[in-house]
Amino acid sequence: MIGVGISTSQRRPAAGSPTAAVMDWESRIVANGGTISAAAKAAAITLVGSLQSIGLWDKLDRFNPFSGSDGSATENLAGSLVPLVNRIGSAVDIIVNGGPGNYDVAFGMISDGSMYLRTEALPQNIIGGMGLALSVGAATGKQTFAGCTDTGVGCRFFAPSTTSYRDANWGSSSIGTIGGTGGYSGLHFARRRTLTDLVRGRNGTLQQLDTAADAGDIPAFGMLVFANNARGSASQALSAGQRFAGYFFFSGIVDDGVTWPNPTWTAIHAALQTYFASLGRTLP
Amino acid sequence: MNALIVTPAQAAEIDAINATFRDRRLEPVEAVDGRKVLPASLLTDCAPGGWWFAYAALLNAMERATVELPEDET
Repeated sequence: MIGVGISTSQRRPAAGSPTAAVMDWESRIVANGGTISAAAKAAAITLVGSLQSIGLWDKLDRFNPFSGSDGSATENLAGSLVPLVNRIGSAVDIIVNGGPGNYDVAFGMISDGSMYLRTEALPQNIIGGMGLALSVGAATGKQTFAGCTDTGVGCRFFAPSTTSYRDANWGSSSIGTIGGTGGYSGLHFARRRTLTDLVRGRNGTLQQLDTAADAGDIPAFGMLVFANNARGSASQALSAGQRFAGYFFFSGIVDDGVTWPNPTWTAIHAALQTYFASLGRTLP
Repeated sequence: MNALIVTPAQAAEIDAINATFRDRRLEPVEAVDGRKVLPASLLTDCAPGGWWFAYAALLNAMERATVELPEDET
């Protein structure tokens, strides 16, 4: 199931000018046959600057805010598949069994029960995690939003869930009602500070903490996004109804793990909300 | 699921076309009855210039059927 012939890129997030980073991103979007609006580019420069200030930018392994815009449906999809940061994984996200109907600028990627995205990304650091921005989420039952291309436990902590983000099998994860009404949407993140210290949060607020977790095995396997089971097999794409504003994988601690609501994650959430607004996209 | 039934020979042809793209891929999945399938909705993007145009001849030649996919592995 691992992709064949997919070239990888080691594009480290630039520590310098946000403008240069966004110009580089735009060039890769155009090279993939995509487009991005002037408003989104301007907002992206602000976003990169904000993420640098917060301290997340240089810890990003892969970040795609799905930003194809101002073109045809095909061009917008092609643009949305190009990550702003792709230090790990394939040069572009690979859409499997989907198409232009799975992308809407106002929402992001829209799952229909058949498609998913393949990133070919391998987690670079066990002390890391993922963020998943849901523009419109819904209760999913036992489904996982980011899975592995083969059996493995090393990346199971990436799943935002109600009851378990580190179950022995990814299939037990779900996005549920924690956070009250509307708790499905927003910026979900899951990370581990140490081998046995796992945290899951939403919009800067702690949802789940486990300081006696199973360490699991490292490394994991190629990461998928929007898969719903342990192995991310193509027959188990996430069910219809979920709308994804974007995702990111990161390495390294970005918060103190003690203060909740956490100012770092609150700031990241706010920066993403501002950016997505440039695309007419709401991130609760 | 409204599906396209994929034969082993067609699966091999799909793999060959997949290798020519870096941002898209078709991966037939196994239905409950054991047949390999793809979503029939892909046919809506098979016109010239469409996302799956390169696969159009293959997809249009596939048998169509309603199939059941397996439940989540929990």
